[in-house]
Amino acid sequence: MSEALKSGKEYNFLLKIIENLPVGVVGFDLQGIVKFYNLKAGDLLNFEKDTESITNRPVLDQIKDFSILHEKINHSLSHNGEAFNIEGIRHGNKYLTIRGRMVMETMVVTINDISRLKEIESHSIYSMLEGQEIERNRLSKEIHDGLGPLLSTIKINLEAINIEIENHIDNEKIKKRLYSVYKLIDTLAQDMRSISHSLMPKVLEDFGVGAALESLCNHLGGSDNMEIHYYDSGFEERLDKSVELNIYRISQELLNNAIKHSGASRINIQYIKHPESIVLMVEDNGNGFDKTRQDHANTGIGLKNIETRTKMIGGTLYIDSNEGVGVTATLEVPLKQ
Amino acid sequence: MFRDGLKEILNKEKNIQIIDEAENGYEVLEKTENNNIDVVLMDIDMGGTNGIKATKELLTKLPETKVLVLSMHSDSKYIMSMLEAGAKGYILKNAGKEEVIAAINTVASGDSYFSSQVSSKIIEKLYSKRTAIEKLKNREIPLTPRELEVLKLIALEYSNPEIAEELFISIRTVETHKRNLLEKLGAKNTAGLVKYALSNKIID
Repeated sequence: MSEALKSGKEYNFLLKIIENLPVGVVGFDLQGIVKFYNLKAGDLLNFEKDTESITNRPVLDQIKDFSILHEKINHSLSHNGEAFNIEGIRHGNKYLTIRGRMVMETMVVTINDISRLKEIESHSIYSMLEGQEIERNRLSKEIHDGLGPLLSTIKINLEAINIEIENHIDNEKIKKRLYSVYKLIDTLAQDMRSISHSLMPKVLEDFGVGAALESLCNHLGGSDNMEIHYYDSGFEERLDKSVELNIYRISQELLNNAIKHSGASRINIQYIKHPESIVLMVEDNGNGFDKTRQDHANTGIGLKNIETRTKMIGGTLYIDSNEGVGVTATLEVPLKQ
Repeated sequence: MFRDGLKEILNKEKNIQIIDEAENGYEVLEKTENNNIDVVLMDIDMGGTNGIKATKELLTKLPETKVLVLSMHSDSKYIMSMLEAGAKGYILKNAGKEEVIAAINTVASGDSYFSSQVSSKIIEKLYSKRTAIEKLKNREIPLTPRELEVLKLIALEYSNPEIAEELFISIRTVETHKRNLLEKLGAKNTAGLVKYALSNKIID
């Protein structure tokens, strides 16, 4: 800051404004020595409580437990105050968006608490998912209970007609055509079954997650270039309906991600019961990614849905990866005691 | 309507006589009561998985009746549940006329009939259904490639952080692998894992 400003009334006026901003602000020089900050910043970044002021002290000392920010500021200080952004990172129980910019000779870092926004966002995803499930359920039931039986009926009636035809007409052409109609009906029935299955597998409702996952892996089937292996620890007891549905959907999404993006030759999905929880693990041996470069700004609606579903059932999701070693996704859901 | 088509086909067969038809599990029990029926063609979806329940109840009352399942479900859970309930045969609704008739005649004569898709599911299940201990003995618990690596390193006395570093995965993932291994192999502790690794020659 210029000396003129520093000495004048304007400086105090400016500090007052900063003090009352709804965002956290902390300014420091290129040596990392704090020049000014407001209480909001101290609050959001958990500055030392027992000290009067952290002005004129190193900023890095205050954020030792916030490794990503520590790293960014450290990098910025050693690169002549290079600007940085951190979007929507979780710190404690808050979500923060942080940016750092050089203003004259001072690095000014602003910290925005976006927890409320995140909450609204997750609430709207929740509602969307809920609506989606209701609609999927309706469609699946309609196909399964309406169209499916109708098609079986068409086929069996056609068989009955066929007997008549065989008895009265000796025409190869008609027989061939009838045969191709049968084939078409079979294909249609199969297509409908797989649509209904992907919307809402009946086996999930009837027998639970293990059977549904086994069926899903059978349906996906893998290919010459990609094997899919399923294992479960063979437990029969049923869980809460919404828990089952969400575990199944999360598995579906994780599997789809692995199939589409991993480039793996092998995917393992395991559903294992532990004394106090259930662990779902999806491993692939594909390309993987560098998880330290993710900045927690999770990309794609798919992962957001998975996170929302995880939250809905009180589970924890952990995605581990490194370049070249594939991705291991772990969902753990506590069992009700 | 499906039943109408089916009736028309079966009526053409000289050795098959259609006695009655039922709408749900309750009617199945009612209509089989005094009719001396050889074969019951049973669907699964009659509101929920009612066909399974109806089969159990029917066979408790009339154990001589042969139940032939005619369903659209090809998932092994449905098949195995019907077998456990006592069904003698299982064919899918996409079966042709010849198969339906062959299946009825086969179960009527006292044998079992399963369409090819169904029998391969049964074999698969019977193979995997043996007890965990038996599977353990035969090394049939399928460990994933990563689990084998973790197990090997545990047996070589690596700590969790060392395993994590060696395999480029996080400590948290190593811990989960370890917990899964304990569950899968029925081991009580790390010593149990080492024992398994040694006796199965995962390490020398």
